[in-house]
Amino acid sequence: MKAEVREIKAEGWVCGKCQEPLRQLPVEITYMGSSFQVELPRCPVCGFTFIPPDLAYGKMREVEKLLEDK
Amino acid sequence: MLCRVCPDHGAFQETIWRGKPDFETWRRPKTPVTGLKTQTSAERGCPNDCGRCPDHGQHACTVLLELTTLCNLRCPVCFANSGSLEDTPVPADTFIERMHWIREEAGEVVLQLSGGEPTLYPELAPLVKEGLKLFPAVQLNTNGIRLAEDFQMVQELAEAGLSWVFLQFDGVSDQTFEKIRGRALFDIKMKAIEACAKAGLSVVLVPTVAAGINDHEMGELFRLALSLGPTVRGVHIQPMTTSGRNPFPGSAGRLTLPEILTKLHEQTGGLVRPEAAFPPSCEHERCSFHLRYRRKDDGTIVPMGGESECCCKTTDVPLSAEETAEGRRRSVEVTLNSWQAPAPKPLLGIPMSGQTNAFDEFIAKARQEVFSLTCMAFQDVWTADLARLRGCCVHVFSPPDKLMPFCAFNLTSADGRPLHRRG
Repeated sequence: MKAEVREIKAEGWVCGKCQEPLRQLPVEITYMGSSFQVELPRCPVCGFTFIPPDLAYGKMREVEKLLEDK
Repeated sequence: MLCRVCPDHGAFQETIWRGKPDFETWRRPKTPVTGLKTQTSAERGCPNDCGRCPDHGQHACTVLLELTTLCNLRCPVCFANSGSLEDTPVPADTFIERMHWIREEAGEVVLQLSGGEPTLYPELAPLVKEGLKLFPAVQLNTNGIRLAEDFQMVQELAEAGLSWVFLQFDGVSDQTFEKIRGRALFDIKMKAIEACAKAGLSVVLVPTVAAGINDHEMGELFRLALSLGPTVRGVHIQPMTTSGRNPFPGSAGRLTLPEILTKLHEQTGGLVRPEAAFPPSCEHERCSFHLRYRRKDDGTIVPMGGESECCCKTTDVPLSAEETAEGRRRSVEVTLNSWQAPAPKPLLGIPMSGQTNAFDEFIAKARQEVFSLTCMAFQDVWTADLARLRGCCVHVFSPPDKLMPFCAFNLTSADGRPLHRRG
């Protein structure tokens, strides 16, 4: 079952540490030697990235399961 | 060596492990699961009480359902001793009842339709369709002859949703097929793969391998399989045993797991690296190895977990009963992810945002590239180990109402008499 994921925009989010508004920036996602790029809300100063729960429990979980080994 | 003493016949010994990785380092012990549904009681002792009896220690990840004893080959080698020309057909409704029974007793398993040669069963596609209502995947164990001859059948199987074809494929030369199957079959096998590709079915190549017969062709077979991706999703090697019909002497032709790994390493110019192989989390540690790769367009492969070697899967600390049960779930899931055909249009009909598109594209690409190399060392009367039988997760449905570990079900004595198999 593919869950629909809401697009999370950077607007309205601020980095707690740097107090900088988050921006939609490319993020390299690497899992067990396999990587790909995706745009996510990210702090332009420290690079801290906000991963919305829908994404973590949805598509990211699907990727993890795909790469999971016995 | 496995050494045993029979009070009537004396001492026996048989090689069960030879070469690298060392026997001592290949560890993944498991605490037996409890609470399994059983169909018999433990009275006479393993393996006489199969199955399953309360001494069994692992769930099934795969259950074989044999549709017929008929076969369109008469292979010199056949663990099922198939090849009869006559069979009393079992009605499809009976098989559907058996599927419901299997679902109830064994849970979410991969259902393997087997035989004999299951493509000779007249209502195969409807059974595949029914099976998929109950199980996450239905696998067809076939010699491929009918698939090569009858494209309509292949199309019907694809339309029914068949998960993948487990294609008997022993080597890359007709000499190999003549020795093991009694016929030159290479072109027929390739035609079967071509038909599956055309219909969108995925295929796993399943060679039966024996020393001095076809073990020199494993590397070339591996490369051939890679070149036939993504239709061909992997190679699943089965070292030959003496169970059933077999004209070759067991000890002479026997290959152990480390020997298979070493030969693959040598024959692929180092492409297959033995140190990247791990013992299983589902079945007993001595029963199999597995490797998963990403198959790149340039013909190279990358281990699925990256280049770094992991040591966390080889351990002397036994998995808990819960982890052993979890190993079965993972095995079913990984098998589905590895062998099922990648969806041709994964985004069809689902409006996706930019973020999810990137993930979906990655998932779709990874599904295309996954390629697995697995090997399962079945046991025969010379190598049978009760601990391995009790830890078995590949079960056979034995009519009317039993689930037996595959190697126990197919066990035959030195003079060919079956312990459990009938017909």
